[in-house]
Amino acid sequence: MKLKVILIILLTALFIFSLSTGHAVASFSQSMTALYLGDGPLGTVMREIRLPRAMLAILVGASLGVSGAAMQGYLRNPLAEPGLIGVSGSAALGAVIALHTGFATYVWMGLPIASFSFATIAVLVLLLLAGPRGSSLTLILAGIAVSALAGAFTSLALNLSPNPYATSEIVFWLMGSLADRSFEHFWLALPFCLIGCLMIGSTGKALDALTLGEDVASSLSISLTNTKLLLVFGVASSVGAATAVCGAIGFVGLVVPHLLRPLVKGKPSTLLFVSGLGGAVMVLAADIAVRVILPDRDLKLGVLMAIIGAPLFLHLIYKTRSALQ
Amino acid sequence: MRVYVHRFSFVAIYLVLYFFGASISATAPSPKVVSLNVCTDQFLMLLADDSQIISLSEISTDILSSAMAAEASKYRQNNSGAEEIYLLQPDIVFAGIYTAKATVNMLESLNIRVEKFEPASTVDQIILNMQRTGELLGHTDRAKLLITNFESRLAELTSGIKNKPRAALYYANGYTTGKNTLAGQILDLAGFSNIASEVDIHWGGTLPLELLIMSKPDVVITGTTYPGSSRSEEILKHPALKPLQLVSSTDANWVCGTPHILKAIEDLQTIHPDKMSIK
Amino acid sequence: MTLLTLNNLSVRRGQCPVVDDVSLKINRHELVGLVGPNGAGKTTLLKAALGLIEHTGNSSLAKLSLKERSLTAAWMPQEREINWPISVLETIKLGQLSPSLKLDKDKIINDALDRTGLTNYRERISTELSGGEQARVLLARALAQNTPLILADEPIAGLDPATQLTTMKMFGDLAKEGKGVLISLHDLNLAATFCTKIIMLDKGQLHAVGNPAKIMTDENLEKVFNIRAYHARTDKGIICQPIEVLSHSS
Repeated sequence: MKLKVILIILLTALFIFSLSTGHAVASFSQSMTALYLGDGPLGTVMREIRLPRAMLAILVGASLGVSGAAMQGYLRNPLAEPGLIGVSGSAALGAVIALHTGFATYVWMGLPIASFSFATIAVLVLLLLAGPRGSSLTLILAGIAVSALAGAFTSLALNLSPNPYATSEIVFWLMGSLADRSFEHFWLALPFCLIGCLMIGSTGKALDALTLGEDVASSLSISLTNTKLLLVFGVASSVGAATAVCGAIGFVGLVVPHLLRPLVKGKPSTLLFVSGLGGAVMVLAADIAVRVILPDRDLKLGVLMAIIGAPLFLHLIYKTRSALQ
Repeated sequence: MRVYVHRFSFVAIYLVLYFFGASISATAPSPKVVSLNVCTDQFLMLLADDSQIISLSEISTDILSSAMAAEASKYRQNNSGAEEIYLLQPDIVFAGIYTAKATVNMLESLNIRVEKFEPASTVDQIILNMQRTGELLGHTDRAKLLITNFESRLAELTSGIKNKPRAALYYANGYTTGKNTLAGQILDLAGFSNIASEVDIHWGGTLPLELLIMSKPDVVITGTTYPGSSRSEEILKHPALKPLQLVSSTDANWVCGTPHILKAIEDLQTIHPDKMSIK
Repeated sequence: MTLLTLNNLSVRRGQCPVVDDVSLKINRHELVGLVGPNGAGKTTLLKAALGLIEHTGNSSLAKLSLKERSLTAAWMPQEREINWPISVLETIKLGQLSPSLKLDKDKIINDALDRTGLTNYRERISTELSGGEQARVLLARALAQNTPLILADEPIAGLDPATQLTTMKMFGDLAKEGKGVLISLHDLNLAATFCTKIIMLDKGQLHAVGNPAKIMTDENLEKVFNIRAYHARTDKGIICQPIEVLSHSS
């Protein structure tokens, strides 16, 4: 499909662009040679700093894009998005608790496990409060509640830490950043993100069927229970792991499916895959932008996402406001 | 008439004695001092009599910030609040120039003498601070002795350095300090060249990890991390730093401009090629 | 051949029996009209028969696995939901989500498009169509499922007369071709004209079952609907037009 090809080309181009962006002064060919050979300080920079950052951007972006498309497909609501409705925030809370209680250090894969668990709780609470029969309004309100609670507890946890740097970390957790992430973080997040995306991917047919409503979907042999479980755990797993290593990055799951939906003629299953590609593109592009716009300050990804995403969110609310009544 | 004269002279003598007494206490030989700053805490402990120290700041017992944490535990701590300090009735209050303005202003308006010390970032400033402390406390001789010992030991340590290995100071959040800071001076005195100067960082600033790696320092100097974990300190464990020699050295001895910087210099010199064999 | 059997089917909401002990059979070649006043339990009966809601008693359809059920019966609910702006073709293709492997998927879909007159609508966006057109799209989707049984809840409600007649005729043709079609509807004229069998539901209970002439009598209409109707027979069909509400409540 043409769209997929365009997105893959864009992704590759941005990936290479990302690899050649950074503080170290080196020409494009120098950077690429160093990446390939891996020797000298430039080799270390390319392999240990830039490469994991670019790969993590793709992993996180894809996870967020797919999760956003999945939540929208399942809730039949274009406003659903893991960042907006508190799933990322809850994952961040889990991560903070895991890091500051030592759970992340003493238990293998403790960090993504903790953020996955908290993200699961969030998704379940949201489905309970504003499930498929819930209106947009209920969904947004439930999301605000979950977000606020998660944010407050994260702040509390950081304040209680014996480490004086912890308190200022709230910005990282709430806004997200890919700066100075290493392969350690990539390998930590990879299995959870991959499994999560695969679980979500398997609900493609179900999401298509849900276009006609739950009863019709059921009559078309879709198991609603299985779909729900796959979605809950899939979203929690991919968003949880992504947030655990990069903080809560919002709006990707909202903007990407929204922009791509007309290009796939609304079909939810196709949208899943292209949203993964689109999410990776968006996060890569934003990560390049934060390094190019303000190279001397660690501009958080979330700031850029909010600048793009918040106006779109307002626009969506405006467009669907009749449905909100 | 005789009664009035009698009472008048009584009042006059009383007034004269009062002002005389007040001027005496203003130049009392052994003033009692409260300290609000971790560095002035240490000046006090080095030069004052025990009886002169009324109270030290809370941080005086923090191992990560105070080089004399153990000694400080036998003194009273204050939380640097104006009310508490006023009630302690000190003759002088020692503070840093960056100590909370509100507190300092309040104390001054309550007629308490506050002596403000600039944080030392050069050897000369350290010596000046010691001299001033000695004068204020009425122990100029002690101060002279301390300074003489300091200078001679410093001369020993700074001699015989032929090559200056390139070093980077790296802290949480990728922060580094240049030659115009105390840490930068310690590095320089220990016989290292600070790569911060190569990237135009002369005071404090963020050194991006990439630039640190590209500059290929001979050694990267970090410090003890705080308990609990923090993302800010994670950068010190970044895999990109593995090929470099990482040394944990910056500790409480690096924080204040006191003779304790000698310990910091000695510690650093254990990895200096020209000085390590001397130990 | 019996396509659907219901035995003593009941649905309770709290203490209230919404569907009360209903037993019936739907066979091939039947177009069955399920009639009854609002609240008689028509929707609940259909959903229970499909196994979409909790019930006591037996439904041959509800007992099937999800896959078997999707190959046996197609369901058209009253709420004509199309949540995303997908094309008409994609909407209809959803009928073949659980494909009947032996047959040619494309042929089935093209047939469905033809029958509902939507061949030129393939690439149109479903949500941009009129209400009537959307109803046809959803009907085509049910046809594309290619099942022996079709259950529909008020499939002609809110459609214009021509579309209503066309749709009823199509149901009739499907029945003649061998399917079993069970639809609920309020239009007694169309029910009387096109249905081969009428099931009259009153307060959750089966009041009467049989062919239209036998069932849509004054007595039944009075008892169940509290109305009086004008009866006539033309060469095009039976007329059973409600004309008056009776004074005493039922």
